[in-house]
Amino acid sequence: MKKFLILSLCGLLFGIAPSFASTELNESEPIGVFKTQQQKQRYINSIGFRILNANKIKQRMNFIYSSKKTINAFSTHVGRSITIYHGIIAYTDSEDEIAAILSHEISHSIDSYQGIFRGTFSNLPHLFVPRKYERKADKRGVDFMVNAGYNPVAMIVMMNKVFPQDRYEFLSTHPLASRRMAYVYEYIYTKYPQYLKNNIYQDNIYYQNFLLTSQDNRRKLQKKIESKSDKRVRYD
Amino acid sequence: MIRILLAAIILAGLPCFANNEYSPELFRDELVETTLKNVSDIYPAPNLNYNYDDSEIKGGAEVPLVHYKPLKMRDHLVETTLKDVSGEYPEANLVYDYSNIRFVPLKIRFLEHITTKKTNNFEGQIVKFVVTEDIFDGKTKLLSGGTYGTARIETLMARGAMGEPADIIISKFDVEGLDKKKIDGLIVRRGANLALLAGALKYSIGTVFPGTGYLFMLIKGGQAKIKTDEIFELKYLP
Repeated sequence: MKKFLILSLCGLLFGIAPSFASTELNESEPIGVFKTQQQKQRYINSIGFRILNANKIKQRMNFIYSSKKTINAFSTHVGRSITIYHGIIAYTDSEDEIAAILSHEISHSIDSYQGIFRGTFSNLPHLFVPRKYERKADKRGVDFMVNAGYNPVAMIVMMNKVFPQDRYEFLSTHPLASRRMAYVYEYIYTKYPQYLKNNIYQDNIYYQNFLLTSQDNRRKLQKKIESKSDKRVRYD
Repeated sequence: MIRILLAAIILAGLPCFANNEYSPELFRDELVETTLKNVSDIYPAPNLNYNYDDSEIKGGAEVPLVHYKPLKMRDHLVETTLKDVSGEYPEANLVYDYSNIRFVPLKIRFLEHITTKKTNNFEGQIVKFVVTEDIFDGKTKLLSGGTYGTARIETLMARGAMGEPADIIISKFDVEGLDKKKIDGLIVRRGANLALLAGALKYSIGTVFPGTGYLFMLIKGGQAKIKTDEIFELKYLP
C-alpha cells in the first residue's frame, strides 16, 4: 500500500512538473525552445555577437538577458551593457526581430564611446535631445542587420508590434512610432531596396498593418521620389 | 445528547443553504426581441481576404483607398518604383577572420566640403575622395596616390538645442583597384558637444535667478565639418 502511495505521489509530481515548464514560456516564440536562463542568454549572445563581428564593431559591449516581463531593452552608457527583457522577446516571432532590437541598442552603445574622456559626457545629448539619437540608432541598426545577414524589414514588423502610438512627440523621449517606421522604411527603400522588392514579410499580418497605417507617409515618400528631392520628409 | 442536537441543527440548516443558491433572473433585451424579429440568426462572413489596395496612392487623388478584393495588401510604391531593382539580398559579412592585425594605411582626402550646415549634403549622398599617398604592401605597390574613390554619407545629423552637437558618419569606401571589403574604417566627425556647458549654466544660473536657466537651453552644439584639406587615415587589410 505504501509503495502504491509513493508511486502515485511520484507520478503526480512528474506529471505536474512539465505543465509548470510549459507555462513559463510560450513555445511559439523563438526563444521559447530554450528552457534554462543559460540557454536563453547564449541565444541572445549568439545574435548580439554575430552583429558585432559582422559589422566590425570595435567597441566592446555585452548582452544581458533578463527574465523580467518588462517590454523593453536598453543600453547603459556607463557599462556599455545591453539588457533585453523577456517581456519584449515574448513579442518576437523570428531571430530577425530580436536582431532588430539588439542592433538598435548596439548603435546607442557605440555612441557612448564618442567624445572627450572616453565618452564620459556622451550621454548628455542623449538625455537632452534623445529623439534624434533614436532615429540614428534605427538607421544604423538597419545597416547592422543587413551586414549580419538579417532582414531589416523585421525592424518595421517589430516596431509595429511593440511601440504604442503617442499623440505628440515633443514631450516624449522617442519619436512617434509611425514616424520611426516611416523613416526606417525610407532608409530601407533607398539603401536596401532588394528587401522590399523581394519582401518575405509581405504577407506578415503586422507588416500588412504597417502598409495599411502608413499609406499617407508612403504617399509623401512617393512625392519625394518623383520630385527627386533631397529634403527630409516630415512624416506623421 | 449534545451530538444529537448539533446533528439536528445541521440537518435543519441544510435546506436553507440549498435555497440560497444564486440563480438570478437573466435580463432580456426587449428592444431586440421586439424590433429584430425578422432578422436572420446567421452571422455575416468575416472579411479575412481583405485588400487595402494602395494603388490609388499615386497622384494623391481623392479616391477611396479601401477596396475589398480577395487579395493581400500590396506596396504600390515598391511595385512601381523598384521595377528594375534586383531582388537578390546583399551579401552578409559572416565569413570573417580577424586574426590578421597587419594593415596598410590608406590616406584619403575628400574632394568636396562636407558639413552639417545648410548645404547640399544629405544622407545617402555619394562623395568623392582621392588617395593622397601610394599604398605599398611590403615592396609591392598596391595603388598609386591620386586614385579616386567614393564613399557614402551614412548619417548627417543636425546640431540641436541644449548643446547637442552635429554628427557626420561616412562609410562604404570604394577605391578602384582595391578590394572594398578589405578597407576598414569609418569617418566620424562630431561638432563641439556643449551639452555639459549648457546644462551647467542652466542649472547653476537658473537656480540663482529662477526662470533664466531656460535661456541657456538655446545654446546649440557645434557644426560638424570635413574640409577638403583634411587627411583621414583608413586601414587596408591586404
